[in-house]
Amino acid sequence: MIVRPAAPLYAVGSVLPPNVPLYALPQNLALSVPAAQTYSYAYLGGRAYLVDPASGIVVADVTE
Amino acid sequence: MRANLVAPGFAALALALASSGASAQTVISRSIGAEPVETTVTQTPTGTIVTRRPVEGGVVQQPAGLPPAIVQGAPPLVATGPDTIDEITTRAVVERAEATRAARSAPARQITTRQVSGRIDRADRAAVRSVQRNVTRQTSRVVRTPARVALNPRERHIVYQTIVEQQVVPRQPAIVAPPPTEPALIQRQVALPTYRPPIVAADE
Repeated sequence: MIVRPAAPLYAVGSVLPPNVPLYALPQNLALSVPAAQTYSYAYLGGRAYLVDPASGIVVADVTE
Repeated sequence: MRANLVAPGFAALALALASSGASAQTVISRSIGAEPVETTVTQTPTGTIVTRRPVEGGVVQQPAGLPPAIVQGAPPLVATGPDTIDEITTRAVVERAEATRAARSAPARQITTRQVSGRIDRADRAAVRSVQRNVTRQTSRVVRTPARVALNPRERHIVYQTIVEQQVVPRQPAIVAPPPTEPALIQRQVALPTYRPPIVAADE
């Protein structure tokens, strides 16, 4: 079931709460988008965020 | 007449001799003026010191023509009239000195300790607040700010699609139409055609 993207919960630069699960990007994505290979992602409320795994800071909101 | 002239001459000579002989003694000049003078009498182990000074400033000048007073021996207290300004001032100074001496010799005052409440008044609180506001904390915090990832629309699309595909929740199960039910087999009893043997004529 595809969740329709809601309004952004977190702006770029904000810190995600520690209880938000982070996921590693797939290997094929690291090959196609090298700039994103060092980041993890979080999927919240139908929105996809690239997150710095060390600090939990949102570096990009890639939701379309 | 001659005796009258000689007597003052002797007196002057005696006075001159006395003054020359008293030069080795302590000479105190006396000054008499109309201004009020404060006289301070200080008693020391070695003797009594009388100090005079005009009350309203100015220096009392000794009138000219008066011979210097010669006082031999101690005490050098200046004799004054009973109710003159000098006498009254001297008495006042002596009384004041005695009062000061008595106060010094009196036992020490009892020290009373008063406990002050630790509560702070409003004004003091405001002052403390203002001081606290003025305090500037200088703390250095090192925050590693990750760079903002700049993705072009194509990369953004790829990332989003990948994430969505990975996160997408199990796809909706395809709705499969139920197989059509076969109609019930209807068995008809079909009457087989009866076999009729051909009639063959026997006598041809």
